[in-house]
Amino acid sequence: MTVAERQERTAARIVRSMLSAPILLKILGVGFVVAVAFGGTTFLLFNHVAKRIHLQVIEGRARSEATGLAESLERPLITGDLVTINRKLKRATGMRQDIRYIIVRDARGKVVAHTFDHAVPDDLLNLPSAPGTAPGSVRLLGSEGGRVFDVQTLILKGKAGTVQLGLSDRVLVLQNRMLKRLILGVLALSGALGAGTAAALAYLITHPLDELRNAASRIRQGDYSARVPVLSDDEIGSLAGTFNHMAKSLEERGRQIEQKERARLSLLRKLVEVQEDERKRLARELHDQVGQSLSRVLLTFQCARRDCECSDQQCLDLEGLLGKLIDEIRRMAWHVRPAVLDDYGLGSALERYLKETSKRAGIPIRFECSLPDNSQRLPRAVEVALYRIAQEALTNVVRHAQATAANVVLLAKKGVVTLVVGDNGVGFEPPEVMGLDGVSLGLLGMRERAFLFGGELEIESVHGSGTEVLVNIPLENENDAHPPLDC
Amino acid sequence: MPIHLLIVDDHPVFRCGLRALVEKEEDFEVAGEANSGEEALDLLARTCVDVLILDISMPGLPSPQLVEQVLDQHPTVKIVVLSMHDDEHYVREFLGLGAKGYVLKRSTGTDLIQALRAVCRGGTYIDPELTDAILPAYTGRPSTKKSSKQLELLSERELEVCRLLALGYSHTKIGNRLSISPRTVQSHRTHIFDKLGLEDRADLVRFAMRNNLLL
Repeated sequence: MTVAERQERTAARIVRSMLSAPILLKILGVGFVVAVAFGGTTFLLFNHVAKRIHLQVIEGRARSEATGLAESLERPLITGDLVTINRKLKRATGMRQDIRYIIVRDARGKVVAHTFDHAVPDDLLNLPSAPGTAPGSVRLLGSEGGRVFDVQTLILKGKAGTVQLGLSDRVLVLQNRMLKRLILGVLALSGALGAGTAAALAYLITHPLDELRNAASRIRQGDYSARVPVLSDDEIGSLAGTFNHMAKSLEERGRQIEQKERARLSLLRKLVEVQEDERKRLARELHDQVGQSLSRVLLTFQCARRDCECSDQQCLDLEGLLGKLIDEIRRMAWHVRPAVLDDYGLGSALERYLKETSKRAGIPIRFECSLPDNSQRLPRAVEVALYRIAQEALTNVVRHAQATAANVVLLAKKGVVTLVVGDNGVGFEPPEVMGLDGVSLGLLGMRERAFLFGGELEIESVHGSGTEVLVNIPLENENDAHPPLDC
Repeated sequence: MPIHLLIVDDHPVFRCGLRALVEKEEDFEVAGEANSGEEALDLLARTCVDVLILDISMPGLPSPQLVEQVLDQHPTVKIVVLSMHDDEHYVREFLGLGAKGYVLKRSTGTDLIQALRAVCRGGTYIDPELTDAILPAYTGRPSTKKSSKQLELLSERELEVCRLLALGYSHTKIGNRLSISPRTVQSHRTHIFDKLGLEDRADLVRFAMRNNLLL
């Protein structure tokens, strides 16, 4: 990676993290940057201008003080009236606090009078008399008490002497400093105000967005009654309005779906009920009517044969055939709906069914059953549902699983009845088969039967290591929720 | 002294055939026919009956109750059940209630005659077709009683997975409940099965119930 690429990446990362910052931070950030830039520039500009004005003002004043003094000193200097000179100097320094010193020289350059207490400091005396500069120009000197602006002015064009005056800018500096503080204070105040306004603005924008987000997540969780208050007429308000419309139509649609689902379930329940009733009736008729009649035929035939003392092979064959026919009818009735299921319960019916299936399919099927005693039967409808589910699951095992063993568990514990049908066969991918194509109808039917009783059905299948069908049906209030399908 | 029979069946034609069959035997005599349980009790009170031939799928008074009442009121009467049901549960229930014989209707007449004679001698008769189904239940399964030691083989977590598996939870559900992935549950399961020498979930449930894991 080249340096340029790395920089580009870093830049992209920074942009990304800036974009992902909360809106409040973004607005505050923008406000802060603008305030700092604006305030800083203002302050710097002010500083620059103030400095120039400061210099001009102080130099002008120094010059005018010196010139005024020079004019007033003309006469006393010519007459050599030292008393007047000293009085004038004292008056000048007395009136103007910022005049630090005044030195008056005669035409020959000898100091005639000054305002110092003792003597003129040497460095001031030895100050080159403004070489290369015109008299009246201002020089800046540093001193213990701050900056001093020194100016020399000729008296009567130098014929009478010179006056040298030192003017301190302390007062101006103090005023200046006060002004700066004031400006800084105003800037800070406006910055704080700006930040406050930005925060309020950000809240105004983000608060409705937060509400929208919360409402959206409630809808995602299926609570279609979520609405947001429409607080304004702006874009956000119109978004909230649109959102509420959407939520309303979702709620409406959810209700419709719920209604349809309820209708579908009651239809399904009715269908199952009718189907089981029909099967029960059919099984009974096969068993009790057809079977009994055939038994009677067999009996009559046996009597007749004994009466005629006939032992003809054809007669014996016919007797055997009748027996087989009765067996067949009994088997059919059993498959349509086993009477044991009604008379002795799910455990007994399954035990028998598994025994037969095991014999027919040629694989061992182990059965573990732990149900309450016969006196406390499961709700009949649940028994029938579980029996049919087990039947379907085992049919699948025999038909598709290529299993060499299967096992069935029936267990009622903690208010839940559990049925597990497992095999050690090839397994399959449940999602592929759980669709709505014809192959899956059996599985779909099992799931729906469990669902009808508030239960659920899961299929755990691993390619190559078998399948388990797990059904759990709650038993609490089962009788209240769904009237038994039969009895 | 002939043996007096009472035929209880709601199919008149079948009763008729049956009567014809038994009356061929010289020592049998049909004392009466009843269309229902109530009628049978009524007849029993009035006539002398040695053996009662009973169809157990009749409308009206449930057959088990009928058997109980008959034996209660007439302890000397022997009951032979003649039924279409070839399920072991019926056989067990009615023999348990005190019936002495159980014959399938599809069996030959000689089976019934044999049953009647056996019962009269004081014995019990079960249709040969049903003895196969009945016997394994009585022989029982050999139980393996080394489970309490096996319990110590499992770790705390495996014990919990074992319990949930026995209660019929799927790998996904167990994973959610214990905050582990279904794949981890699968590997726990493999370990549990290896450690305990189990083959399938039925084994696991048996193990769990023997060790009171499902309470």
